[in-house]
Amino acid sequence: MKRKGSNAAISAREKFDAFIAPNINRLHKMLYAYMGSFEAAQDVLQESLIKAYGHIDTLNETEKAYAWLYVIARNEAKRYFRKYPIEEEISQDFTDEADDRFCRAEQKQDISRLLMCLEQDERELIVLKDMMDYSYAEMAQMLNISVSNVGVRLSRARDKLRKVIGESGYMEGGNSFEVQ
Amino acid sequence: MKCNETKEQLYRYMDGEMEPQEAEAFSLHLDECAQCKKIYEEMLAIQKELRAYAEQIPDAEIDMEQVFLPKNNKEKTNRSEKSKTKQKFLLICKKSASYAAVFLLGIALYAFTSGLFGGLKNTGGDYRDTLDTGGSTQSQQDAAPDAAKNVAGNGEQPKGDANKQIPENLKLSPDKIIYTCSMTVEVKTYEEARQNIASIVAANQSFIQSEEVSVSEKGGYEYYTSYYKIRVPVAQYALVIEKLNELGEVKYSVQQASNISYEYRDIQGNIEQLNIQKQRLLSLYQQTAKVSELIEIENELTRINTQIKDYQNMLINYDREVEYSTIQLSISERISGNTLANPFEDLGKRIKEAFINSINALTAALVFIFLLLVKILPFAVGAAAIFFFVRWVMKKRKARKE
Repeated sequence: MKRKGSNAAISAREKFDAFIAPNINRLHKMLYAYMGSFEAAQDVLQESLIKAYGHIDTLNETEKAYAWLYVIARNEAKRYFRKYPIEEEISQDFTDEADDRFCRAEQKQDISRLLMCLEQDERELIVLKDMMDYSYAEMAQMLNISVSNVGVRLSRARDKLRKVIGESGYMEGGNSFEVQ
Repeated sequence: MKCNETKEQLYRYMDGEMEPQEAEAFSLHLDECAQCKKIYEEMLAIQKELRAYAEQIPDAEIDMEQVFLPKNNKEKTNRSEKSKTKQKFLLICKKSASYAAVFLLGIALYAFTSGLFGGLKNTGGDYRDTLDTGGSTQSQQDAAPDAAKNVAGNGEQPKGDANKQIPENLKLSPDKIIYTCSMTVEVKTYEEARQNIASIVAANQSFIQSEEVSVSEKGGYEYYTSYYKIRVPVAQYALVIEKLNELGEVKYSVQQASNISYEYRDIQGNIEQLNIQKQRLLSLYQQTAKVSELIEIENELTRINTQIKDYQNMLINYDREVEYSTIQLSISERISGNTLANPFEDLGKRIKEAFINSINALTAALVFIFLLLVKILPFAVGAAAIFFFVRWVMKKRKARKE
């Protein structure tokens, strides 16, 4: 009882500083890559942190704070996309038409642009694994899916990314990837 | 060379998600399979690019004061609470909408089953159901004994000398009410019913004014029918009707009470007037000596006397009617008929009638609901006014707070 009391005595601010603050920069990178815009990532991150601080008392498993925070940010990002759906159109355009203005094969592309040619869900997996190097188990927790499902989806997303990059001629050395 | 390994396995190997043994086996495969090796290297290159990209992403510029601002948080939670209350309100609206629908349906059903449908039934033409109006006849029946007592108390009065009775009658002015009833009863055995009627009549100082016996046909059945006109002392009226109801199945019953007090008093007034005239003529008669005048007065007196007599007879008749209620009773016993009645008889007509009936009922219910809505309208306007006023006040308060 006493221990519990002392646990509760930790102020929200202390809890935030201890478990949330260390994850902020990583989260920002993810949001930036995921959303493709510094302003959007900034907005979503700010909102997410406000929300996280407001609900810090619901954070129980502090060792999984990164996942808890990610879930909040993910919801905020989705809300942002619902509000400003410009980005989505771009990626959908690409999947339908090969000669999209952002993803056109002849155009020399920035890798961040190419990332935006993926679907939201696909991009999310690439960001989590290939950029931030989370393990499958961690990703499963963040996305609330099973580990084997992470494997399947990641494989699909990577294939798509390879295809997009192969068509764009992005990788130096000239010879584009063979698409399978 | 065809490769049997899936790309998913390749990626798992690459990500270090394989068990050591499995990874070892896959690394051997990778040395042999050029295809896999190529994908593996491609993906590693892409990953390298992505990691470099991640590295160069600038750090976040977070306004931490905003995050820790207690007001900010409160406002956020308030807002979410507000949206929750909004959701709750919507939910209540949704729920109450269904209640309102049920309520309206109930009203429509009520309108259907009670007044409106009843009224339609009467116009609809199935007269055997007229017993449904039992409510009103019942009250008449209840009122009958009281009135009967009244009349019975003064029953003997008007038969005597009208001259003396008139002023008293005017003062008392009892209501003169004539009760009549007509009813149709289907009985099991005709003879037994007849005997029962005779005994009821005998036991209640009543008499049978007339009786008519015939065989009639109705709805494909043949009936013995007997039509009675029974006169019952008003005091026994209710009791006799009750007994007659027990004869069998009552198919039809109507009771009426007509108040003849006005007519009665008119006649009494006329008699009074004539008596005064008579007195004057009598005094003139004594004063005059001329024969011609005497004869003329005598003629006039005779005329007045006959008129008085007529009026008095009318009063006596009225009194009899009041004292003795009339019951028109017809009893019938089914004696033959087609037990296999054709259920499809007049089907078209019946369908038509049913359809018209339901359309009428629907229209009536709609009119009823419309009227109800119109009735509610002033309250709704008031409620809306209050609602907007409250909202306005709330908005103002909120604005002041901010």
